[in-house]
Amino acid sequence: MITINQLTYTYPNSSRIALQDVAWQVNAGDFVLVAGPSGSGKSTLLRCLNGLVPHFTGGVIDGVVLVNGLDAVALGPHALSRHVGFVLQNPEAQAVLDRVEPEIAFGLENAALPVQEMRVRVEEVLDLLDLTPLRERPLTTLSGGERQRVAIATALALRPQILVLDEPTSQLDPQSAEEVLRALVRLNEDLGLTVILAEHRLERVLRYVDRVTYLENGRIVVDEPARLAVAHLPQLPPLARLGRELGWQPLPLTVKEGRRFARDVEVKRWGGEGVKGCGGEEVISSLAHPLTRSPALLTADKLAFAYNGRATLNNVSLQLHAGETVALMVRNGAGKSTLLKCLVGLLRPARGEVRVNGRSTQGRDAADICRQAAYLPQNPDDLLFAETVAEELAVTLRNHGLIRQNGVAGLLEQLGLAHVAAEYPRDLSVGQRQRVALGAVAITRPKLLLLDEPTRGLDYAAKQTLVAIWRRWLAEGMGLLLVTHDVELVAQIADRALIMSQGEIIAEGETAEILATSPLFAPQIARLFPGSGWLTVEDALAGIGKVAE
Amino acid sequence: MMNDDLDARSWVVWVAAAVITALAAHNPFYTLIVLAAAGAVGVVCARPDMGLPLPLARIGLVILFFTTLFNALMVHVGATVLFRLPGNWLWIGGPVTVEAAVVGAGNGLVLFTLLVVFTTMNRVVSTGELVRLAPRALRDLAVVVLIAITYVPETMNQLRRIREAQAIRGHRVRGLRDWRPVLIPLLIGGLERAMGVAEAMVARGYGSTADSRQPLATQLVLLLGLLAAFAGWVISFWVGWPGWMLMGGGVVIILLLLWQLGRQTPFTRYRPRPMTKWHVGLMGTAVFPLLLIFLPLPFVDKTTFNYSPYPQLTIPGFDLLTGFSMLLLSYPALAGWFNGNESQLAPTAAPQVKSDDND
Repeated sequence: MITINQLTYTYPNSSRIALQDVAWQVNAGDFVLVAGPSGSGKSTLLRCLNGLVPHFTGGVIDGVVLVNGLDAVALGPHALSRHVGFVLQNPEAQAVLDRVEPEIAFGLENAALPVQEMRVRVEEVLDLLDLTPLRERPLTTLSGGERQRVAIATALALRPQILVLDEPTSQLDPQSAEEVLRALVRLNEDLGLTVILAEHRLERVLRYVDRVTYLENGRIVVDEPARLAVAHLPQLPPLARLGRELGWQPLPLTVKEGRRFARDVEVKRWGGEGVKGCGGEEVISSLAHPLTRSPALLTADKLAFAYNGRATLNNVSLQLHAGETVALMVRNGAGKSTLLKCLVGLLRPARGEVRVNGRSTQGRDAADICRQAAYLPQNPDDLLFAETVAEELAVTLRNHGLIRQNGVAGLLEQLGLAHVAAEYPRDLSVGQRQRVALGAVAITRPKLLLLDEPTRGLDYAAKQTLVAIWRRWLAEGMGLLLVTHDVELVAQIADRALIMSQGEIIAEGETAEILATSPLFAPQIARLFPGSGWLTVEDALAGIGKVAE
Repeated sequence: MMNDDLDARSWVVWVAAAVITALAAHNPFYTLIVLAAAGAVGVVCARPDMGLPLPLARIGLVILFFTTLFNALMVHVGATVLFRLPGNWLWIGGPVTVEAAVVGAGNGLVLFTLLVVFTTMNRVVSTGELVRLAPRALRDLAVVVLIAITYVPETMNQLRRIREAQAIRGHRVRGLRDWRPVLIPLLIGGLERAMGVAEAMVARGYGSTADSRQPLATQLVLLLGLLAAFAGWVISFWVGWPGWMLMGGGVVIILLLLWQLGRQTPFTRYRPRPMTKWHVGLMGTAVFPLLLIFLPLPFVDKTTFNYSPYPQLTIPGFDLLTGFSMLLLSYPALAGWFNGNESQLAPTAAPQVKSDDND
């Protein structure tokens, strides 16, 4: 179905080769995961399949890309659009009209299909993607997962034989991501559609795919069936990583497969120390950082806020102490950003009080509050405008009337950005941009850091770099409030977790307790060892080691 | 029943009529009637999914304030002098009169009325319907323009986000130079979004049925039309009607060419919009005030269309029939109000077979 030979591509005005000597083949009906670190060439490879590269992007290309027997390089995206459906990362950036049904039909109208044919196809994709109940809904009223399914339906309506998706779940909460992935599995299994998917969060997708293609620096370094590939991947989801550490063969791709091995582990544990089964009565602590009960750095007391008469926060209370990480997990659009804005004074709550370092935020402006409680918004690019990375941090200091030039150099060193201090921030990788933005808000050396989806779109390495930075700051007594969908990150770093729904905190407690009991937010290790209190690979290894002794 | 099932053509007629009426009838009483009618239609007929309207009252006050101030300071004509500014003050020096202020306020009122009319159109007719109204040969261009229009709210959201992001870094806007941290992310973000949509549309095959390579003959005809129109416009400054004729000929050539090109671009409609009695009523009532303004009707007092407060402020005249005809612009609001809004306003056309239903 797809044959790529000796493909080499360079973007215009770039000296770096984006794809180098790529040879790749995909068979009809395959479900292929294209993985790799940021900047490895995943998106570029996908865009070659429908001719967006080089027809839309420009640049220099050499080699052969045959899709369904058509030369994608020569024919371009117009000719390929009937054969290759393409879905981008952000569902909002690909909608043209405002309602579900017209949006799906729009592509068909432009393809000048007869009306009867359009009706059949629209009904077909509405059914396939479970969108029939939503057909009349405005797109703005849909959840992230629903919008992404509409984007897939729009691509599928043209009846392509291949569906290509570029990180379709990166902006979705676990449940919405699951909806989208299940829809893809159904399309692949029931219709035999060839699905090619780029994704960073391997723990979400590895279990569904037949094959994994892993890229590094524009070259394919692994290209094997998923079960074989998982043994060679440089970056692995927690389940497979644990399996590799414990020598499980073959490495499990699903929690169900992992349980076959985990049973032996549990037998040893229960036999050894007489731990009382899965009820969790004697839970092994997973906490890397013991809870600190110093005076609260941040206190929110019964906050309430409403947009246009609709309550988005209702009686929300929380506390955060020095050296502590609290994770707030929410479904998309459940008021997380509203809460963060109320905490830093960008919004005034209708009711309730916020205290930072024991001082009420009432009557203070956001800049004043953020000197003590830095807030990193969801999109780091909203912050970046300066000519150099160092200047980006220095601007914040000047804004606050602070002079701390050596502070800039020191923080850049901590952030691992010293070598790019003189570069233009927007030319950096996603992970580096995120760290520049973090530096720009944290240069005032605040006691508190409030982070809104800080790992969105980051690869494993970039995430680990951030975690290491936060851990150092936590050890220095900083408090961290983390709003995220990334359950593996929460498992790794959070001391306490809160779950928010419909503007209310519905669950609160120690991370192990909250994650282990939440079917939606439980990480892989917690699902593998229910009742153990283990959340991460390190927890499991430590726990198993302890029991084995 | 969805409001986006409305026939957009009839709404375009309504908008055109409201705009021409507001511009042609120089009389604040008439402008106020058009303004009230457009506002009522915007409130009653807005699509259910539309968010809150723009803060129009506030915007209107700002427009009125500035147009009044500008005219009062710049135009030194009128009998009722409020005060005098020193004569050596460039441009603004001289008497500031009530009459000039009233003319400025009248201009502001017209501007605000146009804003309300277009806002109403935006709230009533969906983007998709407007896209489909564009001539087929210009559809690519129309889609680009309309996507740009739909990006206005998103750009406003982005502006708010960026201002917040900069505010938490202690940034305050005090002067023009302080806008840089806001404008750079806004411009770059806007370009990235535009590229994203363009990429998605290309990937979805938009424009794949159109043949972008036009034969030389077509290009020559288009050039001929443009040259004729331009030459006619220039000639009209010296010799009136021959110039106008040449310009008209050029425009006709261009329109015929677009029509011909449109026929080469196949396009179908998922939901053809039937023209119902309601839509005919909408167009008929909208056109009525134009007939009174432009036709030489003896029973219409045309002097009321050209109100001027100079040299001495007077109360504008008012022709009852003309005022009533302008009130007809509120027909959609009245019909919606009397008949329970949506069900009468939006006769839904189920998807039906209609081959190559064009514009």
